[in-house]
Amino acid sequence: MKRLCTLLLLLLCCGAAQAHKASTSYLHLRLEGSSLSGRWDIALRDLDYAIGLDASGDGELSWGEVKAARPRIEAYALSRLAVRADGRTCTLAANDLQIVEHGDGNYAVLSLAGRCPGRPRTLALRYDLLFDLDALHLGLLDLDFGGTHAGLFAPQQPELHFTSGSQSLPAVFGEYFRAGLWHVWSGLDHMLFLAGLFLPAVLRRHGRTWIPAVSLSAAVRDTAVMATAFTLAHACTLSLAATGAFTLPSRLVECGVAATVLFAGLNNLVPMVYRELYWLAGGFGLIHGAAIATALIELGLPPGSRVWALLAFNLGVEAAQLSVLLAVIPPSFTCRRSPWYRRLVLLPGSLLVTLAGLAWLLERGLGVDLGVPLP
Amino acid sequence: MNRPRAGRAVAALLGLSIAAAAAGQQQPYTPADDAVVLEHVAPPRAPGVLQLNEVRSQWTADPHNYALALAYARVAMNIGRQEDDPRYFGYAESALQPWLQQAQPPPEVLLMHAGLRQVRKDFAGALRELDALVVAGVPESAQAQLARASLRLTQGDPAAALRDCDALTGRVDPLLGLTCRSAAEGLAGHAAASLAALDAARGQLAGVALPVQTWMLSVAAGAAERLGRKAAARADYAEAQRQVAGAGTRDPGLLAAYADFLLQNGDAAAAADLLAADVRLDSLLLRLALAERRLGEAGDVGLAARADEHVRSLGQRFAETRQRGDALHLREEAMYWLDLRHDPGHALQLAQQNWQLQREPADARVLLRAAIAAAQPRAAQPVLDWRRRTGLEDVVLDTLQQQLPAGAAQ
Repeated sequence: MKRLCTLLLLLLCCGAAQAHKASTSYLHLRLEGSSLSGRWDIALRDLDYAIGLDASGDGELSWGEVKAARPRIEAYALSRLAVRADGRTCTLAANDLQIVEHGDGNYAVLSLAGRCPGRPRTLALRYDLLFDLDALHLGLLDLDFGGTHAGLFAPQQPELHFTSGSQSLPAVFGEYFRAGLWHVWSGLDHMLFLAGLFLPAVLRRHGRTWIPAVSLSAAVRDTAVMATAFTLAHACTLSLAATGAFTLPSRLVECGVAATVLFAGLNNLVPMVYRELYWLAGGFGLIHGAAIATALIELGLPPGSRVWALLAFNLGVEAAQLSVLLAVIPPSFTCRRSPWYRRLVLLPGSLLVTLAGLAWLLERGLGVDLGVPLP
Repeated sequence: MNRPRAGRAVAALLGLSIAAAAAGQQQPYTPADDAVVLEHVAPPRAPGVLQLNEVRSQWTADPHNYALALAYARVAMNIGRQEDDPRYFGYAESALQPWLQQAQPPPEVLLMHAGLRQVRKDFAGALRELDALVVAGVPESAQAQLARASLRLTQGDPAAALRDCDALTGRVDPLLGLTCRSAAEGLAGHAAASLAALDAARGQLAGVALPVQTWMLSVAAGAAERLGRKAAARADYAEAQRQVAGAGTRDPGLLAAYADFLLQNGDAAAAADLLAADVRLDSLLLRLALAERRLGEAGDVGLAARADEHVRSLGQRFAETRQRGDALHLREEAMYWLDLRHDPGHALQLAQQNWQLQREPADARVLLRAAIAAAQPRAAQPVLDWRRRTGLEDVVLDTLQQQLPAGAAQ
């Protein structure tokens, strides 16, 4: 009878007021490029019910108890949330724990940070917080992913999919072309390597001496061929690495780049290769392409227009190189007959390139700090 | 950051403890002191039953054990009702999941599930399950029929409720059957007779289980209130509350009805006293804020500030509940906009939505009051039609109807 009555009471007296918010968490996520950030508000009551925060068992949760449980809170919460970008898993970590008050009590605020591979076009979020314990729990999502998206995670709907507000092709092209330009103009190692290659462009090696190039067009043609060989090779490795076809250890790649800078400088001081330099430029381009891929991976590739983005980035790199070449060759061509060009430009310049290449090679290869700013 | 409000400053000056002082700021912060208490997490004790933590740990160890899952769900539902807190209903539903997913869930599980649907205002879903149980001829059929009667009452259909109550004769405790019939007849134009029948049975009350006593007294108090017998109503509400509190528990529905009665009859101080400890329950915080607002208007500066805080806190709670897509407490929300935010237009919309769902005398009152305040007497028509259909007697509704322009009322 007693059990019957309690049940009856429950069934009978509901008309009055069922007025209280059910368990809810608030998840804000933002994906910019490939970088993920966010904030997750989870009720302390819910966390306590799920993993037990009240260490003292006195029924009161103090800030000290919450703080002490921080690793467990973070591990629990993160184990209940998965973010995948274009089918690939994103990393997610909690880096701060604070408190905020909502209408029904205090909530733990987890600051989230993570990274997604590439520049995703689609995001899949899987949310499993508390569903096993509380069938009425909901997760309210506020997502910033190429525009604002709202979502609701429920036990019947633990997974949500979003597509980024897609960019127009010209916008993608412009963005990646600029990124390519800027990568060359702002990359000290790249510029030094180009300097190493271009400094002797207005001269020709003849036996053990330099002789001035005969015509400007020949000088420009020779260097342009060299730069283009470099860019083509560079485009190959860059595209392959950026699309994930292969990955090389970054330290190896960086040492390789430093070695090419060292070689380019040294080759001007103690000529080793001086015929058909475009082969050399092409070979070195392969190494530089692998290095630049890292930058492009960080920027991410828009899935719908990957080819365009890669093309635009490579064309940007090529345009930047040609711009350097066009700025440097005409003045140096004019001065090519002066012995001062060799003494004040070619030799010191090549020496500088050589030393920088050597320093980087030592720093990257051996992990020592020589005080030379790494690019 | 919110600009500190004048009310908050006054409250702080008076040294009042206002739990919700920082609410609504939504700015995460790091508490300065490890000792600061952020939350109360002890599960409330439901008298006479196993404690939540005990049954829960047994269930956790063996979640597919039917008896353990049912025991856990029962305790959670009990506490949920006592606390008016859907979290516990969510726990109960989770525990029942494995059986709910079966093609033919056990009748006990279905009955509990109908109760869970009912508390989240899924009346249609609850009715489907109860209908099936009533005709199934299982031991749970009587309980299902009683539950269906109560649901019909909530939906404002006392005739249908009475049919269910009559069908229960001889199948449940006679006092329970009597209360069921009295509750239905009391809303169907026979309040005086219903009250007389209940009064005649008062002698048998001793020894009856607390929930039955509470229900009887609540039904009697409601009937007396609608008949204008204020003293009798107050005595029964007070007695019911005394018994519930004496057992160490809480009945939010009873408290809300009692507080509404006190507020209706101008005793805001008694209402504030009654609800002082219930700020966690939205439905009761609403009545507390109403009482404090009235006392504030009567000159109590401290209570005026408290009322402001509570109104703000309620606003946040309603907004957050709506964010979830829930509209569980339309009646309370309508009262909030009508009486605390003075927006009768919005209150009327909510009261009309609420009327589509549930039709108790309190729902009729708020719809009528909102229609009058919003100067939209036509909006009151469904209530007038419903009263004509059911024959409901209510002195409060009578007074309200007199405020409607002549012609609109008929």
